[in-house]
Amino acid sequence: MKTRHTSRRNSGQVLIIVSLIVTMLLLSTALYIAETAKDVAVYEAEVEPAFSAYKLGTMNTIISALSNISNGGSKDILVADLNRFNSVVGNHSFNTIFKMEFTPFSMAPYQGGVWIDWGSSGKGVSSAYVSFILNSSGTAATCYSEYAVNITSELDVSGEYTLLNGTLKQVTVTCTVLNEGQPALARNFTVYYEQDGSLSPEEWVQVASPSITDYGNGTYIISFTAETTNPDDPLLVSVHCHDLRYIFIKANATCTQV
Amino acid sequence: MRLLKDNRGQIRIIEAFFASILLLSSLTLIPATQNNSNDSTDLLASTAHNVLMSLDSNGYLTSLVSNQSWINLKSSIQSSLSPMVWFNLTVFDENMTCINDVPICSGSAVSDRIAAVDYVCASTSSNYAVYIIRLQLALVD
Repeated sequence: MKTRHTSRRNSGQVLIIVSLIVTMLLLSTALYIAETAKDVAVYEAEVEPAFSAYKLGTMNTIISALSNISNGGSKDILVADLNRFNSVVGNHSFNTIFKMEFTPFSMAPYQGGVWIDWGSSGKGVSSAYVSFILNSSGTAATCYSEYAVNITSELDVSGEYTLLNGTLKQVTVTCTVLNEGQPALARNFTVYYEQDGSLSPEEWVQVASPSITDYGNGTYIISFTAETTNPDDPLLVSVHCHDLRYIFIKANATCTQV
Repeated sequence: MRLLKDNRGQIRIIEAFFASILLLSSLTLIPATQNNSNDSTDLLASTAHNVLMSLDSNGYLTSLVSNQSWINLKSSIQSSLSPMVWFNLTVFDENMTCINDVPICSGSAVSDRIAAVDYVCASTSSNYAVYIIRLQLALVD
């Protein structure tokens, strides 16, 4: 009888302990869910404002590298500059562990993330293309972003000329400047023409002061007078241009007689 | 009598549940209180980021820093912020050496709650450089 009485008195205490255990379980489950939700990477994190700044930084870095390469610099500068940017960002992310991976695009026509094509078909391209993966793990959240940056400056050139007297020709060249496929403004133009219309040997003559009309929509009309060796020589023009980002582009074209 | 004894145990269980609910509710209140105190600082940090990003979006910020146009930089920051916001801007190079030789700020600090943002910006010029810009903001009381 004594044993039965004791067990009956203890049954309430056991239930209290059970209820406490249930509460602890509920609490730990809630904490687990909260921690798991914190660890899940947020894609295209708008919660991390620094991400947008880093994206802008990578874009500026590529513009700088392309400007350097197109003006005669080494192609290695692209990777070197991106590593430099990565290092600075990594060293100054105090409350997050920041990781940036980049891959220069290597499929044709790109090589090591760079494509320079200054052909004779009237089209010149200076381009850089790099894909990025950004990861940041902080106390508040883990963020993830995957994107690609393509910086392309393009110059389209076409021209025509009318014969003046003798070997003199009145030339009109139409140039279109594009940045990422959109009309863009140019910083400056330098125009050359081939003296005898043959590229062997190349004898380019710089036009001293061409007349340049800016239409404000990326289209420029360049007019000048050229003097070739013979009146029948074809007229080859070469237009060199820097866009507003100081990226150099060159395009050669053969003018048609009108 | 037996019934009474049994009810005592049940009341204890109910008490235990109430205690655990109280414990849970007090736990949920703690982070909410902390968030309230950080709201204004978070807002200032967000404003600082937005100001720097809008200036950097067209390469204007890096050109000002590269040319060491501190007066123009101060004017740009000042015009982007409300007059009720105090600011102090410091420009560092990659090695965290301070570049600006003149203070770029709007007077002395007036609040003890200051939000600071470190912004990494890269130049677009062919002569590549990376700068760290520290913008501190505080509300004028």
